[in-house]
Parts: sequence; C-alpha cells; structure tokens
Amino acid sequence: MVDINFYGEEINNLFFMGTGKFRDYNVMKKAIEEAKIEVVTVAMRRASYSNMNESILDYINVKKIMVNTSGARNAEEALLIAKAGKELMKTDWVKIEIINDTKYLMPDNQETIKACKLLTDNGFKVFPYMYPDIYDARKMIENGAEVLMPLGAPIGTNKGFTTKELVKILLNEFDAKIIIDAGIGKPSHVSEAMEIGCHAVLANTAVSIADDPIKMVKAFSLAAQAGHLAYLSGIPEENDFAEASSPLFDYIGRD
Amino acid sequence: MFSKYVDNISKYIKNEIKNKHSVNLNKEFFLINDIFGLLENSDLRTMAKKVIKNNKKYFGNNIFLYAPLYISNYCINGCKYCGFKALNKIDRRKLNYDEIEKELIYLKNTGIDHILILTGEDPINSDFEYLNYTIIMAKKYFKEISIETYSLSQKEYEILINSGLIGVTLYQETYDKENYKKYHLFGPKSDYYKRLETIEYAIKAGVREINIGALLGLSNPDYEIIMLAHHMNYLLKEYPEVEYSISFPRIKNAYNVKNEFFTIKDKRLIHYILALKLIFPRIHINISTRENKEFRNAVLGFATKMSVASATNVGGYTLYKNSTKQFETDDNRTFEEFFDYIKKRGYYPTTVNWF
Repeated sequence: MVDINFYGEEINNLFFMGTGKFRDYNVMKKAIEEAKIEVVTVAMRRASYSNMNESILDYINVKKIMVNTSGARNAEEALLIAKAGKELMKTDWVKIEIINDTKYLMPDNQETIKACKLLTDNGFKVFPYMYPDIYDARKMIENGAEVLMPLGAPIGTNKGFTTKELVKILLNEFDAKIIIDAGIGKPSHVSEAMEIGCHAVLANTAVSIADDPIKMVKAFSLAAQAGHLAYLSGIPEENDFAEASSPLFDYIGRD
Repeated sequence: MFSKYVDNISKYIKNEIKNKHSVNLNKEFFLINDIFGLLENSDLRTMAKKVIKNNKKYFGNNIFLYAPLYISNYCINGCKYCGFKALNKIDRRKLNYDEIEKELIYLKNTGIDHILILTGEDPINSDFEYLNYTIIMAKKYFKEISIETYSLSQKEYEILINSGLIGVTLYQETYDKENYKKYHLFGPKSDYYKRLETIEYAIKAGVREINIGALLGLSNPDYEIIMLAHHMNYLLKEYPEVEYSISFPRIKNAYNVKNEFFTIKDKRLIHYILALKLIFPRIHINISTRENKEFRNAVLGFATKMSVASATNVGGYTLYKNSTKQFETDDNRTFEEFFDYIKKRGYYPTTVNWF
C-alpha cells in the first residue's frame, strides 16, 4: 500500500479511529493493536486521569494521537483544550470540533474557521471537522488547514457517506487532504469514500458499539485499504449502455 | 423566555390531554406533538428497543456518574413536600469551610469527579459568597461542579462560572401554576415565573449543562411530563448549545410531610422516560438514588446520568451521618459496588465529562 502524507507524517493505515464509547479500554487497546491503527483521536475531556478510571493514554500505542476539542463552543475554548491536550498527550495534531448544537451535533463552520487561524498561529496542525461547504473550506485552508474533515453524515447516525456529492467538489477544488469524519456506519461506506479519492476515514461509534469491536476495526481498516487501492488503480467509469460493440456505432462510423 | 408561553401551553395541554391520540412507532424522528400519542401507546418494548439503539449511537457505553454534597439546610421557603422546609423543627446545619473541605476530600477519594452542591435558601446561612467560595474550593478537587440551589441572577451565575461552575440543576417542581401556589406557601421560591426564568439566566450566563425536572406526584403526572417536554423543546430550540438532562424525581417520604400526592408506578415512570427519549434522543436522563436498586438496574443504559452512594443530609458523608435527610435514599450501594455493576452490564462508568 502507498502511504499518504499528513503534515509531514507518512501514514499507512488510512482508517483513523475515535477512542470514545468503548465498553472498556482493554477492548479498545486490542482493537488498535490487531488492526494496526496508526492514528486515533482522543477527546481531552475523557483523557484526564481520575482515580476510578485509569488514564486512556495507558492503553494507546499509535503513531499519532490527535487531540479532539469536543466540548468546545468557540475558537478560544478549542485553543485552551488543544494546549491542555498537547501537554498531556505530547502531540500537535488537533481535530477541531466546535459544536453549538447539541441536538444534531452539527459543526459550527464559522467558529471552526476562526479556530483554524488561532490554532495554526499557536503552532498546531489542524484537522477541522466541518460541514462540506466550498466557501468555508476555502477559508479554513487560507487559515492554515492542510487537511479538512467533512462529515459523511451527522455524528453517530451511521447513515454513511450522504455528503458524497458535496465532498467531490472539495476534492476537485482543493489540494487539501480530505478525511471523512462522522456518520460512517459500515466498511462499505469507508470504501465508498476512499474510492472517490478521499485520503482517510475516521469513525468511532460504528466500531466501538459493535458486538465485536475488534473484528469491526479490522474490517474498517481493510475497507480503507481496498477503497484506496481501487482509487489508485483508476476505476473505470460506469456506463449507462454498452459501448463500441453496438451496431449503432457502425452507422455513426459510416460517411 | 419560556415564561411568556407557559400559560397558553398549559391551557392547551389540559384540554388536549382529554382526547385520544395515536402515533406510528416506525418513524425515525418524533416531534413534540407526538408526546400525547407516545404516552398512550402501550408498546413499550418497541419504544425501548429504539431508545437503547439511539443511546448506543449517541452515548456509546458511557454512564456518567456524580454525587451530591449538601452544605447547608437552613431554608426560608415553605415548600410543603420538603424535609428542610422552614417550619420544620430540625437540626439545622451549615458546614464551615473546613468541614466542606473534609467532605470534598472524602468524595474525591471515592473516585467521583463530578459533584452537585446543594443548599437550602437562606440569605444569612447560605448566602451567595458562601456558595461561591464552596465552588472555588471544590474546583481544587473536582473537574465538574454543578449546583442545585436557589434562584440567582445572570450576573451571579457569571461569577460562579468564573469560579468553576459547569452545570445547574433547577426543577420547576410542578408546572401547574395553581398547584405550585398550593405547595409553595411562602418564601422567594413561591414565585412561579421567577423560578421558570432562572434556568434561562443560568444559560445566558454561559453554563454548559442544564438539568430540569418536575417533582412527580405534586400534580397530574401525565400533564407534568407533557409540560416538561414542551419546556425542553423550547430550551433546545432557543439554546441549542447546552447539554441537557431531565430528571424525574418521584416524591418520597420526608420528615413531617403528609403524603397527599399522586403515585407513579415504576412501569409508568419507564414509559415517561421512553417517550421523552424518543422525542429528545440527545438529552440525558438523570436518575438519582431516590430510586431503589432494582429500578436503577432496570433503567441503566436508558438513563445515562446517575448519582451514586449519596448522602442527602448536611455533612452526611463524614461528619453528621445522622442529621436530617432531605429525602430517604433507596439505593445504598457503595461507589465500588455500583461501578462493578455497571461494568458487569457492559457499560463504562465514567466520572469525567469535562476537565
């Protein structure tokens, strides 16, 4: 498989995993190990140690940890969380998640644009979780984002790659890397995103609440590989009718 | 402000509740107007399956735990149903700061990271400064601090947030204005509208978490739940940035309180939980240790916020174990026992929702 480079890091496993919602940390640890997960997101508000729950960090051994700013309601709060996360997790990768809507959990693009600038100015590598809007994407990139993380569907819905047509526009328009984040429910959704040229897929709910999360994480990793490989090999376009062999073409070919 | 609409909504519900309603449970989304149909539908099994599926999606396997800390039971309100009411001749106590620290350290060592600080209403024995300083002290030990106390102004909430306040619990007790008057005989709390508006002052000040509820038993419980649903619906539309919970405390026996209340059976309470969770899949249901062990075990996973090993009296953890309780608790499992039980059920007991 060909690695993809994010902010100077060569990443081989293009399925990125969220670490929330697991039954217990041992299951999560095993999933990471067996599927050879290289990038995980950790929500800062879950990462801190308490004497009843051991620290999640003791169970994570990966190439890159991405601090997730979940819980932030504006750019300033996101920066605060990023700083605390950097100290605790020794990483400058930050998933900017700013949500002001507890009903649908839709990302607040406007605050996210501000946060891209604020965090980039403070030396962070930003991965903005966003609604795939071309104007907002442009502003995020202008504000320092080299990667965008559009949602596939609203968080936790497992509805799959419902924003495909909008994401295609981002892929055509920008050089930024595109990671599909949220709403992904099945391995086939992962493949679908990778086949059109997305650079990685991030999911949490679908794997963490599966009956067998370990098998499911493997399935998602393989799906990311399969989709990426297919994209690299140049998928033939689908045609609505048979070509070239039809008698019609004989007529067209005549003078 | 919800207070602007509450009278009309109440009137509408009192009329509408007499009619027959139905709802199609195969729908993906339920809206506020489905509440009548949901409460009249007896297919609890289908509702429960839907709710548990939603909860897994939105909350994964997490159960959020907290513990209450009572710091003062002085009170100038006359709430007929409460063990701490002003006219009760009980052992009144107010913890001094050293005593508060002792209780904080005890709770911290149990493994809890979210505490709910409670006080009665008394301008001398639980004044604003006292509350503020308690929060400042608690912040040294706990990540998440909520309060359940008397009405404050927006300015006051802002000060508390600066000191570390994260959440506010405030129950309207009953949404029925006539009954509210009947049960709240005197004191600042007897102002129905002010009570209702306080929630929004707290939100405007910037609290992250809000927990509303009705004390089930004071009025017709069906009416109460439908009003509660409308209140939640309004808050979600008006202030979508807040993380909400709903509590359903059922009235309990307390010192010198005559039982003149509606009874709510377990199965009906579960029905209420399911109906509200279908309309508001993203809110937490909060169940305290008022409820007994069997009931709490049954609703685990439907409820995603739970208190644990609670003392409902002032200094009840380490200092004055026999002082008067606000109400009797019914699930007296220790922290460890409840933690282990949650894990055994395949859930993850989490003590951290903020840092």
